[in-house]
Amino acid sequence: MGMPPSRGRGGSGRKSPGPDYATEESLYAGIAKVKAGQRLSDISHAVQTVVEGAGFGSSGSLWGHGIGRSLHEDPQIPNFGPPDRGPTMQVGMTFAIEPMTSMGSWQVRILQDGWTAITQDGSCAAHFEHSVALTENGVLILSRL
Amino acid sequence: MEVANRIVAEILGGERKVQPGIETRELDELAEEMCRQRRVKPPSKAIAAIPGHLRVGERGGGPRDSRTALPQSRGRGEPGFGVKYEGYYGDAAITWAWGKWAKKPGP
Repeated sequence: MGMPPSRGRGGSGRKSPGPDYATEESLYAGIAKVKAGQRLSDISHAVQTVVEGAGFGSSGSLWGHGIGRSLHEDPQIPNFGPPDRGPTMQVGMTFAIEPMTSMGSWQVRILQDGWTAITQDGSCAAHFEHSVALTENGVLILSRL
Repeated sequence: MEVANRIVAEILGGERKVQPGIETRELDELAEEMCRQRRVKPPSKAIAAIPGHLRVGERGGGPRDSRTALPQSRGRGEPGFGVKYEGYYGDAAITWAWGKWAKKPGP
């Protein structure tokens, strides 16, 4: 039976055997950094900190992005990097934050269908994503029921 | 964007059928039906670079073909989904896993 995703802030509170738990936790850690005046790479750094702290690796080539009139807009939001770099976040910005982690290689390749991403070494991977908006009242997770 | 993303969340919620034995084609069809009911189109219909809108498979994604049934013993499903509604996009993804997973890569 498939394990349903958590809807709660901060993840499911349930540790799974793969990188799922860490990935979901890193998503919410990144979302927590979406604040007016903070730099974009604060999101990246928060994601990396959680993922690597759990002993996994972040995807080196697939990451978050701006979203709005197009599915993928600037800025790109890597799942790793030092804090306090990049654009300063402002109210009205919308992002898709999407940590991808693996138990092995962080390198991924896209298959012939042009869509499916797999890890180079076939290791177990996980992916969680939310679209969020930075509002006057803080971050709003748009893609959560 | 709020509406677009709410629709995405509803559709991903409907993807609870990600479980052992189900064919990826069934998941595609389920998502397409939910899109039809909500009168939205997935980006796959609008963006050539993304011909599919569900990424499902074992071991962190494995495409094989659309009739591939997810494995009974252990598996992973990762529906990633987006829609366009009144000019704005919504985008989200989740991962399901079942069965016993090794701590290290490999079979």
